[in-house]
Amino acid sequence: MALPVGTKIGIGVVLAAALGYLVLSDTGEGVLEYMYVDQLMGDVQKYEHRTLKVHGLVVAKSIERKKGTTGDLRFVVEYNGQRLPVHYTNIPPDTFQEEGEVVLTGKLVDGVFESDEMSAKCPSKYEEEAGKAAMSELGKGG
Amino acid sequence: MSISTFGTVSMLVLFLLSVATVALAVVGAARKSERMIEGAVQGIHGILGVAVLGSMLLEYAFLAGETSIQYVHHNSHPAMPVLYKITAFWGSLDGSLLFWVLLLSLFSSLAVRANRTRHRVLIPHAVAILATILAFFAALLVFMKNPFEPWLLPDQAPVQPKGLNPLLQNPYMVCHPPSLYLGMVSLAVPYAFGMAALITGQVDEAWQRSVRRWTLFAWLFLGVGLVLGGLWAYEELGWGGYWAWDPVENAGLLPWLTCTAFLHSIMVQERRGMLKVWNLVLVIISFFLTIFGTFLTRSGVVQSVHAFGEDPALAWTFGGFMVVILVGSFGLLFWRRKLLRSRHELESVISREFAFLLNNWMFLICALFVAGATMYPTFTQWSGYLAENYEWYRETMFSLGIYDEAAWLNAALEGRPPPWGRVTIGPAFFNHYMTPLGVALLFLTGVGPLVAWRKTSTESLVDQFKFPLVAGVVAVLIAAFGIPLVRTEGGFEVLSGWGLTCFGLCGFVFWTIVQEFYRGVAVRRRNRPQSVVDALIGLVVRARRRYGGYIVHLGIVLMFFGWAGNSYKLERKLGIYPGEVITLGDYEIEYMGAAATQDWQKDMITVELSVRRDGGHAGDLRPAKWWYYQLPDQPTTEVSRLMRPGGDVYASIADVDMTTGWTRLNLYYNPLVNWVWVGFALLLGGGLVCIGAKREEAEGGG
Repeated sequence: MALPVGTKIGIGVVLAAALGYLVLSDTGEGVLEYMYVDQLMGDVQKYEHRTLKVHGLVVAKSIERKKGTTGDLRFVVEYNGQRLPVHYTNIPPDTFQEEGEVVLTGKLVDGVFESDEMSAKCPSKYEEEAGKAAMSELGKGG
Repeated sequence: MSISTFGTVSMLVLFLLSVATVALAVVGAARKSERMIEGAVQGIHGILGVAVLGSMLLEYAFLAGETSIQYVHHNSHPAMPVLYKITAFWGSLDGSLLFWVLLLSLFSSLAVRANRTRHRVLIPHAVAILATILAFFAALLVFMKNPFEPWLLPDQAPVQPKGLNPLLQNPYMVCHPPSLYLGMVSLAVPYAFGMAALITGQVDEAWQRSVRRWTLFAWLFLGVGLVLGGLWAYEELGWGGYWAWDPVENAGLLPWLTCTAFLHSIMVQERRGMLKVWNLVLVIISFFLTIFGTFLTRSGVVQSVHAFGEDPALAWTFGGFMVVILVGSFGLLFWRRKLLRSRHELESVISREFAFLLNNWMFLICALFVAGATMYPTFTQWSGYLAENYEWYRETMFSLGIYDEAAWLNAALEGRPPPWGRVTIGPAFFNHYMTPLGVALLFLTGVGPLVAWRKTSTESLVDQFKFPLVAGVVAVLIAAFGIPLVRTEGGFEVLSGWGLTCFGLCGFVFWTIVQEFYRGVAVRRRNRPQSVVDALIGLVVRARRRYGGYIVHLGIVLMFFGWAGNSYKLERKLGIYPGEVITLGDYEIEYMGAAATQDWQKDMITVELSVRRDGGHAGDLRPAKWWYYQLPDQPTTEVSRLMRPGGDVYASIADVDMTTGWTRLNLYYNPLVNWVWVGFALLLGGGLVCIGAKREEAEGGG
């Protein structure tokens, strides 16, 4: 004896309702626009004052660690020739370093990216870059 | 012959032997030639031999500091402790693929040996499948990622080797990746036997008997790997949490979810001959997800904090392999669908079968959701790529209103990249969907074992559930009113709905398990007078699968108890001077001062915090910042925490100004967090009890 059709429909309705509720109550929190520095700088007016994620490389020697006064961190990230000054107000991840790749979460306010969340490339070393760099250097030498 | 050449040749032999084994197994099975099949079986053992040889060569290269090999040069440092030199073997892409092959050949060899007489019909096909997977990975090692690749010119090798990042020089990191690998790789065995069953048409329960333990083994190691990764993040990274839904974490979680579903649904097939197709689907998906996970983490297709670098060639290779797996496996399943009819049908909604079916749906929905959300940003990227390059696609997206035509036009006129709207999916999104799903699964954990097979009478329902329900209600009341977990300055913390639900269900499920043990012990003592402890041990030993399962459930309850505490988490980030006092929940934390010290490998700045509770001294915290001489630009954050059953006071520092003593401090109060680890230890114990169970017991248990 299989389940009656009514029961099957009932189960379906309950599951669909639960799923529907979940989707409807989703505030969209956690879903953020993601872009590289050049895209952000290409349309500053559009993206200003919106919370988003920006991906770029930390410009060499741009990191100012202000000890004592504010503890905030200022540095510049770049991508594809475009630069963006950053004001960062949290503990930077251990992998944060000059010329490193970072993804920052925050808002562009008056030309400065105000951020308190950063992920820097994790030290798991499945790296390709070093190998590629070595190969291209070899190409030049030969 | 140099190690590099010797190693490269061994990789080539590995590949050729795998291909030969596939050929022998396939032809042997078709011609029913015992000699050829035996040859294929020997081939599997031979592959293991070559893989062991190759791995030993690579280990030797690391220990001997053979920096003429690129891989060794990149991942080793003369000053590194021997333990880390050994583990550097699988620390990076090329070596991790060799490690994968080593484990897979070991498991294949063991599985084939264990089943060679018992399930002889399945053997040639299982061997063919396993050797095909081995050949795929060996091909990667030969053609794309040879770990023995030397520098092309002798003087090209940079003088200073790089060595392993200090962040990864941590005992958790020694165990975390191999544990995940063990879990992932061992899932190839159930898959191979499942496919062999489909090919031969022997789709009765025989194939499952040969894979139940493998799946349990995989499930345990995946769990260990995930928890160790969480512990590492919690103790090393300083952001106060242990799980952030990063794609690489998700890659390990996905097969764990489907394995959990499989371990439940095979019981239904054993008992009732139902869910046959479902079980095969789960085995296929679990194996697929291990390859998918490898693809996610190695190919660079998803953005992750774990930098694996982009590698389009590898991405396409894995992509192709994944398509072959899906098409081949589901094609076989469709071909054999008539053999997979159920012996029975579902009779009632209030039955064990239905509870298990629901549990399976939930786990599969969880897995699909996590996989979808993980891949979503990549999908938007692919879609953007298509729109940039193909007119018809772009037009379709404009007409569907998914892309804004005007914005694209503007961007094109101004020479900006097309605004196809790449997004990221953060933890908040995952939590929104996974919290209710997790809570529903917790509920089923309690209900499943208490309802009977086929159908359950009303009297039995009342009898089974009255005390657990009372326990659940009491747990909610305690959590809501009795013992406030956290007091803030403004009075009581706002109660979280999910937190309370979770506490209530923990109470409910806890009591269902206690009740099962209590009843079992009572029956044993009635039959033969004995002490409670003797009865308890006797109970577990006699029905290991059943009571091992209950112990696993108990562990799950404790883990959920810990997660529920997370909804009462407190967080404070601030800059302070010595002598200042901060309040964090029930705790008062005074900043005593900072000290600069050094040892042979690093400079250290340590901040001393004194923690008080209810006027008494509760302990000291010493978060620090370390600068390794090896990597002076990358200071490491050293977390300090005060562990209590009620929760952790957790501190990390960003900056310290040694002239004034000013420091920027991150403080967290993580209520009940340690119960997650305790619960997992219990789960592990329960899993080990199950894994030791004899097959025959299946009929009596459950």
